[in-house]
Amino acid sequence: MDERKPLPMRYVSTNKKGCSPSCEGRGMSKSLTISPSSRKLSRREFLVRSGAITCAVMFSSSDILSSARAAILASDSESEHSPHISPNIWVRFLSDGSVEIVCPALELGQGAHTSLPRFVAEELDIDWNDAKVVQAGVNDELYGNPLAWNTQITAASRTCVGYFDVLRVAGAQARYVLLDAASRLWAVETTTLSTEPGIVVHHESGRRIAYRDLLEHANVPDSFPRFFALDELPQPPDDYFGDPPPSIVAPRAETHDAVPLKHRDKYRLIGTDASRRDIEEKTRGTASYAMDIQLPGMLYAVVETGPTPSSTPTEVDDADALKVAGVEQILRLPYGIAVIGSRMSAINKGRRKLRIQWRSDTTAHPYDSKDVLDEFASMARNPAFPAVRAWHQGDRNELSRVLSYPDTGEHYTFEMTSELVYQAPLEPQNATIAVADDGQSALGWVGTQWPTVDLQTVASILEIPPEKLTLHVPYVGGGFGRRLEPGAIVDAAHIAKTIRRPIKVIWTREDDLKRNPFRQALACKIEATTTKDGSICAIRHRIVADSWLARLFPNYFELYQQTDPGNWVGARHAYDIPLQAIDVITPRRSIPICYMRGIGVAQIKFAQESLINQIAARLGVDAIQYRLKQLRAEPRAINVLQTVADMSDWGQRGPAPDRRGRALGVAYTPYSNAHVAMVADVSIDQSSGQIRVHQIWCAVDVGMAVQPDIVISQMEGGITQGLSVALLERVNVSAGAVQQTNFHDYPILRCTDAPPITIKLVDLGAPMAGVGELGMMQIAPAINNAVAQIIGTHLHALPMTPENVLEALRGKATDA
Amino acid sequence: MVNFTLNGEAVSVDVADDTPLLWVLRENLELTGTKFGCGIAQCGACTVHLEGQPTRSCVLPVAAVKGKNITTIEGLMKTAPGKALETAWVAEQVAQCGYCQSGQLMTAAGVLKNAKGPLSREEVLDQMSGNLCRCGTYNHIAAAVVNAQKAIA
Repeated sequence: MDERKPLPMRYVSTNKKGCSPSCEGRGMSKSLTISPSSRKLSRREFLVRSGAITCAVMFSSSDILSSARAAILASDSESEHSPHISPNIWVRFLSDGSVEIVCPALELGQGAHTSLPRFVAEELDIDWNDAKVVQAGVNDELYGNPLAWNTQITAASRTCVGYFDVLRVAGAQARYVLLDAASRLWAVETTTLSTEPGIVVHHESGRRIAYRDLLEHANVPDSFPRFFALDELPQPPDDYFGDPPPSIVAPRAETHDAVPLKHRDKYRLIGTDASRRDIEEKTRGTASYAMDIQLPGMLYAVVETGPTPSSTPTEVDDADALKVAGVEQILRLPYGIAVIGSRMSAINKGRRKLRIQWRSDTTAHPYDSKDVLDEFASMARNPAFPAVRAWHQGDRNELSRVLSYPDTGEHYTFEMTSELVYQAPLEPQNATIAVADDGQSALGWVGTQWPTVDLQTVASILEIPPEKLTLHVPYVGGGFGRRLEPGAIVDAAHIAKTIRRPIKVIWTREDDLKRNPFRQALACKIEATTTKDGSICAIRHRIVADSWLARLFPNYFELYQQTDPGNWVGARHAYDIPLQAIDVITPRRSIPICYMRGIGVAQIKFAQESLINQIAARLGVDAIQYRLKQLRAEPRAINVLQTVADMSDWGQRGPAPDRRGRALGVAYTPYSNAHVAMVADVSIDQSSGQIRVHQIWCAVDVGMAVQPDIVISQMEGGITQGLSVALLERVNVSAGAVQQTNFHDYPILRCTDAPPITIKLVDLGAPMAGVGELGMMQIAPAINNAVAQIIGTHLHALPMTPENVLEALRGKATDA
Repeated sequence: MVNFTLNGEAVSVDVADDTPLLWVLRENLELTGTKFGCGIAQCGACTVHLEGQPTRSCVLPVAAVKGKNITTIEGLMKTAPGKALETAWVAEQVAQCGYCQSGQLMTAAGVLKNAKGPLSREEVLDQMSGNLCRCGTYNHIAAAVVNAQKAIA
């Protein structure tokens, strides 16, 4: 295997035993099984199974289903219409001429409900206004992302990239059925037919027929011909997932009946902007989130938990809580006390009257965020501490020798630490579950990025087969990685199992922060050696962080040599450096860790891009020119850097502080086949140490942009969120207890501190790359590089707080 | 019984006086456009209008609105300024996850109402700093408010 490529994790998941995440988090003691499978169901199987999906739950009070708010059912469930004809699981032609398109990914606000159906509509060749978007149900076998472990996960910037081939083939199959019908109707060869949006055309005879008028003649074949792509570059390996598996789209016509897919030069929908399908409802306040589910007879619950993740209740005095009007029941869960009642205000009041004694696991060393980060930093610094070599390039011995004894150039190091961060989606964790009277089936509603895991977790708690649980997945009020694992739905499952009434659990913001799995605290040290001409010839990263993968997917962790690629793939870069190594240490600690948008890349790039500037500064070379020299073999990298230099007037203005004290900082980050360069315009209030960002310019090459305005929105949003994380955000943990409680002591960026952002998309014809996480990755180093222009030294800790700036100003930290 | 006017119509609810208005709106009156975000008036997702001015319903006891006029996002959308904001918001494609947007729009309506003259980006943001957006839509919000004001004028 080419050393440059990480382990192709995608193949790992075809293990038929699936992986068994050991969810040791609160209430997740049952082992989960993700059962990835690449097997495609036949249409008959699908119809049978989808029937089972929609009809699985029988309630004695049959009005629960029907009176579940219509908006929810309409927006998130499998179609209730009987399709006139359904060429495959993704497309349903309705008799009124509209076409339902099933969207397998969750709408998190990233535009999945618009971008993905347009893949189908493009190839099917319909008027976009005739497309009706339907959220897919929860089913890995039907809806798994082929480029993300074949599971129905909406994360890792893999949605468009992963579903592109599946969905364009779905559209092409549907079009094929119509062409076949027209060819039989008119007794002509299908090859003589073409389409215009919604119409089949026979040019020779001038005959035209609307799709809807062909439906009565349409037959869905038992199998379709293979579809192939003309003159397309293959999807390159992904930094995290590795090599893509063989695609459903053939690279060329392998058989005589193979059908070509549209070439991107002919695209009418892909590459153009359309109003996002979710925008109007979200603007009018009518969009439904899991939080908005209301069922007849539904009760609410809040759950009091102990001070640390391992706390369990021992003594509970609930007498006063039960006296509160509206509190109906107090229930002891394995890890907390549920207060259940008819109104949120009542149960919140009752909760405050609980008197609980907690026992914490005394065998575990209590987590202290400062101690942990100090410890991680010393592990990063101390080469004697054993590390796993996650990846390397060039001769190992030569690398060590060059780093220890530079021949002619100089030796550089950069150390950094990064604190725990709260993903902070604005919709707090919540979920609703209704268990049927016989306890044998259930309905659930949850905002999630990985419904498969929610489904299996809940089914396991309810002790019912997963197919007896129908999970509805409405719009998600912010994912950012947090919703990769179950939260409030675990509480809801435990409670619903006992009380047998529809139950909605809402985590207060305080619960949401306290019970959150955080972005990993991380320490790293980079060493680099330059040659005589100043180019880097050897670089070694040592990265120390706890792991999400190790906590939930130990099998994958093992297969990655006991490392978490989320923590280290950011150390891979595009600079032309012959000798490279990434060494990783993964200490396990008692505060649960979860990926956040941008995974560890957003942290490692802070160190890496700061170091590049430090070297350029020492050599007296312009920071952009220095990068261009190290990126000679990467035209896309050069292009984004030159573009952002133009956008920011870098050449004229230069990075040094101007009369207003404002300096420019640059950062360049490649990630999973995208290239991004950013310049930030920054000043510092030298008395308070407060960093202020005035303006941001960003050039982005994501290859083919599916919908340019969504790419720009995702970049702007990611940059703004990244700015918040870079300057403001940290979770402190003392004696195992999270110290922050809500947005007053865990501030996130407010609009008054949000700078104008200018994004420019550039495209040199590369295949599409993911976008969702990209904006998070450049902002912190771009700011740090501007800070170094102003105060003469880089900062070495995230977040870049005023205290860190003042400390640097006092000379305690230097670039030396 | 607490009586008040909600989106122009008289309503009457049987709840404890100290119940936060947010939960009365969402549970008793089944208007779920107003969102729960933090419960301590820090995020603005629960913003409604009390006598035409933006206020945080998560910390407002329902007793405080007895006999008063309350407008929620559902009511705002029926008004001319609400429609102007809606048009500008959709044109600007503001919402991402959308959870904070009802609150943003309610505050924006207050900004438009209280404006003395043409609003700049900075003036809009200065008045909207009580509304958090985790998706980072702030620049689009500012543009939409400025555009809505121009459309109304």
